[in-house]
Amino acid sequence: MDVQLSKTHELLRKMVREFAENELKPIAKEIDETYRFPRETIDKYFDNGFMGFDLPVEQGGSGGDMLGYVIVMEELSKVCLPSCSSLSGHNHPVISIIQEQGSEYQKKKYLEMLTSGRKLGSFALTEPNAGSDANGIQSTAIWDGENYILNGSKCFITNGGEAEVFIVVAITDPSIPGSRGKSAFIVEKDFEGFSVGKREKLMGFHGGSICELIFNNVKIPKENLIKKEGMGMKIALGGLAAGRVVVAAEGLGCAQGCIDEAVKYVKERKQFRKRISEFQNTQFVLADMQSRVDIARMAIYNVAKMVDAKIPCTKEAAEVKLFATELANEVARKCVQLMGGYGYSQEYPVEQKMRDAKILEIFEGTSEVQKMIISKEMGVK
Amino acid sequence: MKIVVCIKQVPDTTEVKIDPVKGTLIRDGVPSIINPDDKAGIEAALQLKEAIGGEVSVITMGPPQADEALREALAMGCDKAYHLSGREFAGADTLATSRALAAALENLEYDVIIAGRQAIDGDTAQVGPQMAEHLGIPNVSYAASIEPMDDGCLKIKRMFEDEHYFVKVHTPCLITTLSEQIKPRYMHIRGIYSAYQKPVQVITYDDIKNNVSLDELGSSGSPTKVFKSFTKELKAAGEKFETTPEESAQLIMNKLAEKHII
Repeated sequence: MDVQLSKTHELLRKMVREFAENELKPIAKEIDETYRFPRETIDKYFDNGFMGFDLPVEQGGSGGDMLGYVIVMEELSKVCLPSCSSLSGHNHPVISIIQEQGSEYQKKKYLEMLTSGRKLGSFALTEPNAGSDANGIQSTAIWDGENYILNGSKCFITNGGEAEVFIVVAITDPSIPGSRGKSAFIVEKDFEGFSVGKREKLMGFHGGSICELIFNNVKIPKENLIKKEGMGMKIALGGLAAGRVVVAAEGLGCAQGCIDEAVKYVKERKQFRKRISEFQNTQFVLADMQSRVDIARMAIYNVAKMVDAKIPCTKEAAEVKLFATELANEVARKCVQLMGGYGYSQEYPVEQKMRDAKILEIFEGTSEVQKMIISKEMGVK
Repeated sequence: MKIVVCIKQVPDTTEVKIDPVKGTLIRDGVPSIINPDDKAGIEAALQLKEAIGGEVSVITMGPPQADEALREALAMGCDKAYHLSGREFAGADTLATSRALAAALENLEYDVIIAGRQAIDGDTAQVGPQMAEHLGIPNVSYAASIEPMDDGCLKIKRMFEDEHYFVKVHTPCLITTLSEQIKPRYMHIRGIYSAYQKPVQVITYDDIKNNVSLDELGSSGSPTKVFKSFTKELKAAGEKFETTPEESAQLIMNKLAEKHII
């Protein structure tokens, strides 16, 4: 629909759509019902070049761009949002941070592990006392002369129970309050003292591995400090514009997936001796939703192009994240309503999409945090 | 081992609609795909290359739009692509198509040519075997698998509905493949991003005129012409008879006479 999408992107969409239909769709319901993390989907992501999507080929990636990645997110989220998030949690910010901020040693070792090594990545910032107020983290990584010793815990960590390579942010200098006392590290699952705690039981995202991490005197070698001490928050929050447009695309896909299901249903369902698609309310509600989704798509693709062109887009990325994630929730709710009792039933996929969609307004910076960013960019304070 | 895979871009007939007035396929707006049996051929070729090394080239005869099919093949992992294209080739039936492709292949190096068993729009299953005849090489069709052997030959499992054979064949040879038996890989993301960077070599009539003459190509070179295509008429349920063979023969003759067919 965007005349500027290149043939490469069209070819990409064709592949991802087929992949989503054949590999994600058949198990989307089962992983939700059984709370199963589909490791086989992760393997397929590795097999087909999704991991390291926009990492240069020379570094083991697929050489893709953000516009293509947004298309991937859209097509996968149409069909299964948690499986899409497992992929995005691996690529951004784990691979992207190591690629952009890592030392030669870190890049060589960990980029290989995260691509051809088939190890899954996970980013660990959030703690029980530090969500939107990320600066409130309390985990510590204290230098003892030989290693950094990590203590504390993290919660709500995407891929937490399944990943082998983690980026962890912790306090390195307790005497410095605020971001300058914090640093970012690469931590491997096998490091002594590292363990996975409970798996969160959530409203949706049952097919994801969202877990608690527990650090008990974990020994982190000094080569695993990313950049320098005191740069932890800058590193963690630095790649966020890209992360926001990615989540916006997940919202876009989720919304479109709901609309597609609702359209199919209303063309078949008969009440009052008519197909309910013949009622003006049905037509108007769908037209309204599709217009907003299409406009969101145009905006998201545009911001993705800005990211590719390295044009600063802090405000625009926050805007599309805010808009598309709230839109996804509104659309999911309205599609359940259009489908009535069957929309509410687990026999049809929209109720799962509605449950899954709620997290979009919360993670990767809540809608409120996005508004803080946007108003700040507007100079309103 | 040098492998050349012949592919055809076809309308996705699971989505095709029939024009209710003319009874012909409505091709506008119908997505195009690589013919499934040919895609299986690409997969078989890539597996063979992974097993014993070599190069996989893909060739198609078709209008400019067929370039998309070649890009898809490159994205799956093929090394080179050839596009046989020109007005001279248009309107070809299977014989003229096979002559054109064979003429192009005479200019290329190959140990194995792989084609799909048949195309979903024509269903003739003729082009592969015809090409083998033109090129004077052995043909093994209906391949479910292709395995390299230590002596340089290939071991092919030929599959039919109710039986299968194992056939050993020397190279050069031509093999046709079955989509039911060979599951093709997806295009790799890395392959997709490099597909449009790779060159596709266009082959025109000029490049092959020493191997084939104009009157052997296109519609003028086609001894068969499509007279009409139409959807199958839905018939009512028939009558079932249980009789001896002799009685059946008489019964059939009577029915045919009844309907004035004989």
